[in-house]
Amino acid sequence: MRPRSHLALLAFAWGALARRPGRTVALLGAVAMVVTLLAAVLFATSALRGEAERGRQTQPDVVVQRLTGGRPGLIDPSTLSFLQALPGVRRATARVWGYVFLTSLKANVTVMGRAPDAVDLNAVRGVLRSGRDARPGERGAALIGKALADLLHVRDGDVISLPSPREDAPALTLVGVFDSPVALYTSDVIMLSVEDARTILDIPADRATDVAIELGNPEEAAVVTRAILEEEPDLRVLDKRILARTYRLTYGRRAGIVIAAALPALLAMLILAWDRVSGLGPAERREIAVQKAVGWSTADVLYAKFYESVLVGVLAFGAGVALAYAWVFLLGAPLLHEVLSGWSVLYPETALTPAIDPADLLGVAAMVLLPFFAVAIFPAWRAAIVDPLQAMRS
Amino acid sequence: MTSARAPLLALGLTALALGGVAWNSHARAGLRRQQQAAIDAVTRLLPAPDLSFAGSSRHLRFPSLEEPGAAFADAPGSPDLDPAGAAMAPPTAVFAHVETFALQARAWPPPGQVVPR
Repeated sequence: MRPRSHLALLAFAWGALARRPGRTVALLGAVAMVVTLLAAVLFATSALRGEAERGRQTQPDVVVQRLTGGRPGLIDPSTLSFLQALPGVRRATARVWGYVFLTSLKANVTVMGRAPDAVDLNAVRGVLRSGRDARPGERGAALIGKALADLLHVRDGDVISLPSPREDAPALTLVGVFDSPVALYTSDVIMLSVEDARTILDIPADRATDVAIELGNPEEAAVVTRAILEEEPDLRVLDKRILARTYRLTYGRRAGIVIAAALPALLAMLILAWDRVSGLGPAERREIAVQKAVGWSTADVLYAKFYESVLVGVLAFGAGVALAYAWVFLLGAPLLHEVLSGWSVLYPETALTPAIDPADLLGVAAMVLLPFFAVAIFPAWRAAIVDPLQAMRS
Repeated sequence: MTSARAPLLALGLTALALGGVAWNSHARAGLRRQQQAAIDAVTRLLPAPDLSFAGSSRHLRFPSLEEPGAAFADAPGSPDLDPAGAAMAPPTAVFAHVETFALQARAWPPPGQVVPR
């Protein structure tokens, strides 16, 4: 068949859709809604995974924790010395951090002790929204996440105190507030000197929460892990690669739950579309019979029906993807964000960054459009092989 | 008969919309890449680069570090969240390429087996 004939059939299919506007709009709407929901979940999940991956670059090669009775315990000095002396370990840093429950917010905030030799955050654009970085070892000074500062109604220069079992816990002067580009990581964080963190969290001077290890050769993580566990089986060693798996599982699981919960609605819409497409009415049967009577071949009839479903499917797919994109990245994924991210009290107010995988879109297209195309062809073929006179009489 | 111009125009507009999505996505991803230095500077100072979303259990701020040992006190009887229950499973390569070193480090005898002296 010549290309010109295909164009004519495409034009005929367009005209056929225009002659049945109610049916066409119902089909377009149903398929577009299914595509929007599936694509939005995939977009939001990919964006969250992308953010998690983005922050992973600076992660230590290995993190070591101590388990006491199955719960995380404190690291003692001998363990730290053992880890520092291991072959292949370039640097083992004891870290002091923990959680403080704020009754007023009904939420935990993360209190992070900051090593005195850390990079000056004043020098990095996009880290601090207001105020300044704390000086190395500066006591009583803290940086605070933006969402937390907003919820507590504080800003740089204000003084806060955190609940602590120690009576000598210092009051903290907020010297700076983290900026939006890092809000996804810092919204619940209060960063202060290691000494202040020890006092507030009541961690003895020679103990640590965990140990971050940098290796001379990151490929040796497996060997170092084995060496640590053979010597100290009570330690828990977290390899960077295992943490990558956790991120994927976390967001994959949540996306799966959302899609599973939406499955009945998706199926209902697909069944509606199926019913509309697969059931040829008397008018359509008569139309096919007339086409056959005036000389159309069965292939022509099938091509015309196929182009009808292609037009509906492709337009609905495009509309669905565009709507999903606008929903997630322009409107901030209302309703969906909470489900995928968790019911956190301290939500970071930041837009998600697209990390669209074309394979995801191809998957959605294959899942929705291929069955849609297939169900349109079969009834048309059945109508096309009936004798035209018999079809017109019936 | 209707001209073929109308359906081709509709398909072209659809392609244009998808192109607009791709262009906007690319531009926003580029802007985010420019903020990588700030992200690196901050995540280096945090316990882990986990996003600051609490899970259903409020204490799970850093799920990558804590979830395997955490008691789900906030939601007793809740379904087993990780990794079961996901309709959309993670890529199998994740399991294939990542070893669980803790289990391999020492050849423990099976539970209940007498340990020879």
